[in-house]
Amino acid sequence: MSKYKGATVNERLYISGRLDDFYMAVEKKNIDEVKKILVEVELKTESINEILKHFKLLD
Amino acid sequence: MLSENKYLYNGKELQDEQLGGVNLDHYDYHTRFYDPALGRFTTQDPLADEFSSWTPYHYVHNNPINLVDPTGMAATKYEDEEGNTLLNTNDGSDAVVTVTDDKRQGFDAAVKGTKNTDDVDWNKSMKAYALGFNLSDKQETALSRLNSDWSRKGAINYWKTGKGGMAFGLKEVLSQWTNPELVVHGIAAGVAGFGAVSRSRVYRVYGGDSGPTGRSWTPINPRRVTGFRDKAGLPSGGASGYNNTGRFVVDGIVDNRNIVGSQRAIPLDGNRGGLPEYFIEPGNVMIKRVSGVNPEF
Repeated sequence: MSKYKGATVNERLYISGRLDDFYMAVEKKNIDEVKKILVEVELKTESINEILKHFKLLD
Repeated sequence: MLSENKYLYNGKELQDEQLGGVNLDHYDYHTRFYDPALGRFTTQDPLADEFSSWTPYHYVHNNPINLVDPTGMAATKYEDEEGNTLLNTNDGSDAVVTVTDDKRQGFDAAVKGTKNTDDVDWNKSMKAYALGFNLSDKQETALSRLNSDWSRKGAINYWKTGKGGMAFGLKEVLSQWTNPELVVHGIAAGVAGFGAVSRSRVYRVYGGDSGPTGRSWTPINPRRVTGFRDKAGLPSGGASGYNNTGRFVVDGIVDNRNIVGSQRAIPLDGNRGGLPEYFIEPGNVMIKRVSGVNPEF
């Protein structure tokens, strides 16, 4: 069973220990790093794109 | 002169409120949301109107309690008793200092006598002269976390007189928010940084794939939020692959030292996010109540 079961996005990031890395990548607009971290926390492309749009990292 | 009553608030329901038998007075704020600097976004938040006083996200830190407003350009503002600005200095402080009439002559002379009103030491001396006490580093930090000159002035008045409590924060927030729950949290936002803040009320909505003991909590009472699922960014059976049914709510209290971090909820499964989200290790929340929700969130 995934450790991210039922978790919010932030919760996934926190559990993975990548929360700060994620927001740093967002701040730096490092899209590749943002994607990489989101993949690490087992989010799928559809969810990742939703998040990238939210942070204005994807049109 | 600043009126003591200007900052008073007759919020007895706040002063006397009990939560699960735990008395929570003004200096042990039962709800709290940290300074906006805790969760700043680079993008416009969908709830920006609802949380209009929050600053956008900039960067996350693990220890919200020790955060210092990094916005820079802090300036001590000196005002006369009428609120007219006498002097703005770029000394790294956010203090708003009222120079009373009896100290005006000395203040004016000191301004004329210095070559650099931005000098930190000069400003420390002037603040001490005008206020009658030295602002501590802790107090300066607290000032940097307040949202307006009004609040800063209120905080200083509180330190000066010992009266007025936290109401300066409330008044400010009342001017911006109409949602009672947000007002309560705003009170705490207005005083974030004071050492007196020790505990917070937190909530966790769960059910289905989400359990009652996860790391994600919110300081906002879900019962008072329209569209909580949307604003909390709950997994809802979409691409996330999981579903938080929102069938239950846990009400808890957490020692603020155990709040590891804070962010706004991120969109997921079509839910927009935006609500504040606290990260707390399981076992660090004192559970006060678990209740079912009908209809589910």
